[in-house]
Amino acid sequence: MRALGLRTKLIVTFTGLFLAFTATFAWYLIHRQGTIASQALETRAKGLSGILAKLIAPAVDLDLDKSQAENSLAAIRGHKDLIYVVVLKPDGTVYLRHSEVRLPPGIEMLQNSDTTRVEQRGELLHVLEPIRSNGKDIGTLAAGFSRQSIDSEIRTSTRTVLLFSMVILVIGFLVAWVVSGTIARPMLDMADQLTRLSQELADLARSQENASGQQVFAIEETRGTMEVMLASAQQIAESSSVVLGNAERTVTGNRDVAHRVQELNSHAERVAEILAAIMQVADRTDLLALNAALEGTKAGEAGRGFTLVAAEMRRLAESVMESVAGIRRLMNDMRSASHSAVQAGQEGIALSEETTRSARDIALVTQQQRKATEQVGRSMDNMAATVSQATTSTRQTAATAQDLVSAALRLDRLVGSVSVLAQTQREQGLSRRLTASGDGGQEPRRG
Amino acid sequence: MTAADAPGVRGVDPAVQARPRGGVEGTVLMLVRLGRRWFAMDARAIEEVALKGQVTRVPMSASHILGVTTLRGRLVTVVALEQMIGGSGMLPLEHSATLPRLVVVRDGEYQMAVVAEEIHGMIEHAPTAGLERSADVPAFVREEFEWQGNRVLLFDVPMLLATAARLAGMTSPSQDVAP
Repeated sequence: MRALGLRTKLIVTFTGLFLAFTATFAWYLIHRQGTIASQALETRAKGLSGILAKLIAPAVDLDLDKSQAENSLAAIRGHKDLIYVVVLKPDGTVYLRHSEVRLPPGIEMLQNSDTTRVEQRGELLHVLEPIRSNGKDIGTLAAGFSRQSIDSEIRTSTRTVLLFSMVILVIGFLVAWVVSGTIARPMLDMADQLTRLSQELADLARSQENASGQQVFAIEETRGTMEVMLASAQQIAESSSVVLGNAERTVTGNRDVAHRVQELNSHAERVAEILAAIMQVADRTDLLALNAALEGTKAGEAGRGFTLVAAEMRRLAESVMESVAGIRRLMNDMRSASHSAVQAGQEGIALSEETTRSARDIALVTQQQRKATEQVGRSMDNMAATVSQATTSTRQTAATAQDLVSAALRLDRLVGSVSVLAQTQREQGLSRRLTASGDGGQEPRRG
Repeated sequence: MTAADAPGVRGVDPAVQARPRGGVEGTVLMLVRLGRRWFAMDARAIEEVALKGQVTRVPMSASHILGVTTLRGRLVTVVALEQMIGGSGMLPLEHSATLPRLVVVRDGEYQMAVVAEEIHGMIEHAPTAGLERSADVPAFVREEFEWQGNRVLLFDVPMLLATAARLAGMTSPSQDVAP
């Protein structure tokens, strides 16, 4: 019966109901009509027997001739149901016998009776009617009536009832056809819609589960990245601490260098003062030698040697002055170099202080970043818990969707609007999709 | 190249190239530099060479008189040669190997000092025809000669003193100073 659809079932149901009703109705009518016909036959037989008993009573009482007595039965001759009439005397002798047809022996019911009796025996209705005259039983009238007429009427009415029942059945079938179509189509549409919705719900649940899985993966990946960032921040903090220490040591070293260079400059100033003194002495010596040479020259040939000595003294003084000038140039170079060194040291101090500030800023930023990373990690944990709850809810939704799909399948099977083959294919497809949904959505979606 | 860069020419160098050929005795000159120019003066007219101390300007004095300075208790007039000969200005001090000098010249009882940025020393110089005199050379320049690639003006010291005194409105011991 799985092949039968809802409409067929409705048609069969309605038709069966109509058939049962019609059969019951027909059976009742036929049975009732037979009963009524039998009662009518019995009443008519009783009445007719009573009349015949009254009609025949004088003849029996007077013991008239049979021919005269038969005249009393003239009224019933030719009656279509009356088969036989037998008048019995109290002693059981037959006074009169009348029969429309030739009866086989023993079929008549020949008994005396002081009351009216009706008995169905075989195909005949036998009636025993006492014959009374002046309140005294003078005999019994036995009559037999045929049931052929009422059987014929019953058959005729049965055919009529059956025909009428067939008409009702046909009408009921048509009504069932229309009503089943009116009921089955919305239910079919509803079942299809429910099936489609359940499929979409299953797909949605699968998509949500996939999305949740991807979110969990992304959260795990982000948490891993956050851990790497946390480790990096820790390393950066350690490195910045080392850089901070180095920068502070560099500042101290540069300040020491600047102090030493300043001391060197003061020494150079002292050397310059000494050189100035030497220069002054050499200059005076040069001047003195020059004047000596001049005096020697004025002395003429006698002062020539003196002039030569003075010239040598001048040469020595000038050599000293040239040396002092060279030393001054070197001192200037040293001063420039020391000035450059001081500037470089100051720049180094500034850079080191900048490095120190940067390292402190880096340490502060790294600490903030570490706190932020830890906060993000906690948020990732919360998000993972939320996604896990969402995944659980999605799985519950998927299970509910699966139940809904099963219910839709049952409803679809109940509606039965498709063939067994098509329904089997749909069930197999839904089963695959639900399996795929339960396995994490590895099955490709059906187009 | 300056004269100071040439070795062996300081003092009264017998090998000086200004010595005249043929054994003729020359004059011992003192070479001084002022600015970019070299000058020579007879060593016998030079009394001494002193450091250039503080020179005090004299109000209402001539433009070639820088002022006066004390030299061992004596007041000596300091003359600016570049003003007298119209020469160029002095070079920066660092270009000189020594401190500025005052060359005190004397003619009789009259003396004055000229500022020299550098004093090379003495050389022997024989009087020659020398170079052709320039048109704008003053009268107190006796001669121009070549010395180590430099053009040197040889001053006639008495005429130099007379010219300075005349320009300053004073009298000098030399009465034959040309106007």
